[in-house]
Amino acid sequence: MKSEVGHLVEISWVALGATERAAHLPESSKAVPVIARVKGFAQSSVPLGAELAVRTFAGRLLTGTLIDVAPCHTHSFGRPQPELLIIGPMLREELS
Amino acid sequence: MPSYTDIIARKGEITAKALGFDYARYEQGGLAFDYEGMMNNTGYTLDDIRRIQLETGVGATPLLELRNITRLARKLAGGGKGARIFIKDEAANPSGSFKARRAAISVYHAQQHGFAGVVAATSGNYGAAVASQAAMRGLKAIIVQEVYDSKNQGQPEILEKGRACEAYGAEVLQLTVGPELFAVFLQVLESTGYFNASLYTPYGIAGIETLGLEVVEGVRQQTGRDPDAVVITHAGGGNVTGTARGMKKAGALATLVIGASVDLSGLHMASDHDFNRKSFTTGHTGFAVPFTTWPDRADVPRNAARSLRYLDRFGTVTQGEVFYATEMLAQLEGLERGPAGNISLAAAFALAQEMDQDQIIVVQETEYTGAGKHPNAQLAFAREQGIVVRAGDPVENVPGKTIVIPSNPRQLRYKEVPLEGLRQSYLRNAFEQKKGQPLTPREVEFLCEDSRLTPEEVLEGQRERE
Ligand SMILES: Cc1ncc(COP(=O)(O)O)c(C=O)c1O
Repeated sequence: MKSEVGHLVEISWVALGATERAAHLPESSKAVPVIARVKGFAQSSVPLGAELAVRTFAGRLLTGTLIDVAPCHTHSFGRPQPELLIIGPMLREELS
Repeated sequence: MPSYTDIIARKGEITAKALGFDYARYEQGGLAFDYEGMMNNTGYTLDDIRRIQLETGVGATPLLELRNITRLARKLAGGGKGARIFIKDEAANPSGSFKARRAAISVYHAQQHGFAGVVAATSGNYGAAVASQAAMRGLKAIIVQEVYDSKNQGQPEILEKGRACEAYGAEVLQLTVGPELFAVFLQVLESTGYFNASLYTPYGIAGIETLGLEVVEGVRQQTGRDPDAVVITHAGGGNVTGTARGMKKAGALATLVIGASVDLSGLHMASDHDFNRKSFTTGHTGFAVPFTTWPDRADVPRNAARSLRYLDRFGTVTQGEVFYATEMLAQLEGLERGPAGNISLAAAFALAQEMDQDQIIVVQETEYTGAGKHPNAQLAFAREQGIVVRAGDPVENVPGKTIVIPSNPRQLRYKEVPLEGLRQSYLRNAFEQKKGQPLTPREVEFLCEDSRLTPEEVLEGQRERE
């Protein structure tokens, strides 16, 4: 996959390395860097994993590693949960 | 980016410039400052705020009586108990939550003072509120969010909030877990010169006062009397503070202000490991406890949200109980609404059963729901994280390990958290700041105003430290 000039992509970069982080963090956080991600319009055509500048929705020019092309939202409504499905009928019964 | 310590060292200078609000004017030495003076000097009266909010369609939301849920509460309570339950449908605001009230004044102020854009550090509904208000007023918006753990796994509710921000045209800068978000936020403020639309400024909190006012006016209109209690979802405490101030301005001096949070005790908010083991991203004790017991940990020099001044009671509910309340609201009242407002609904449902039938309890907000926010999305995600989800008695709930969905409505409970304990932790935090120095008379007075402790209790605390 490659970015296309002017098309929406997503980049990421290390905002703070693990050694540059705040003091007094829980162990699981101390060990890892702070990563930043942003979406924007690609300023050049590069392959995934390459460095790229993007123009964000606020108009800023930011640079990072290309991680996605035409990024899409995949969060969902989730599968039905049996523990919830019984609530409505039970409450209606209770009120009838 | 400048180093973490370098940018944090300049936080006062950067936030002051990005707000144009003279906090120094209200300082009274050491811990003390003139809170009311600060709140009364926003330059906007409550009438101005109402007018500014109506310009962008904020506020004047419906107050709905939950007749079927009230009927259920009465049946469960028996003995003539079961207060009438009302809900303020704040999901009807642009961007779908009461946060539009909070963003409205900040964005207006930024526009009036010639800022080209606004920045907010928030993983919550506030981002969408700022983005939506900024879109209406022609300003740029940048939202800085904490979203992912180090495995690149995003919390579904925060992903949804990020999507909403982008829908309104905002840049969303997404970060992995950690308090360093604040440093990134400062860096964005400094490099853009945009306005700091912090959640915790006097503008933000004053914007919520209209909600308290409308709740009281609405109840008076529909019932001819004041509400006996208003239950308010509590995270950073702005919701409680602004609403309670508005209720007092409406003259509802006898109405109880009750805060409610989801119990997430034991989970560390800055922990990469714990981050995705919670199903609620706001309205939980991970914010409520630190913020009630020391408000000045916010992204402004003095936090305008100081809920210990206003809370009459505070209690918790469990994640499973809130999912149950969400389902109950949809199925019995035909209102499909999002997670945060249903925290106070779960609490109010239990509290109503202790009250008389001629009394009135108000659930102070709803919020929108959708992909990621929906209970199915959160429970499916929780299972993927290895959390046990099952039906049963919610007393068996263990945050981060099990979510217990009540197996019948009698199992919804409100667990009182004595305010006395929170006040004592507040005092401990104050002494921590003083580093062994004795309190000045004005500081003693301030701590009493800020925590509702008596001067004797504050001085007693000081003696014990010596
Ligand atoms: C819909 C909703 N309700 C309640 C709250 C809690 O408000 P506060 O942080 O002011 O206590 C939030 C904040 O994140 C929210 O988005």
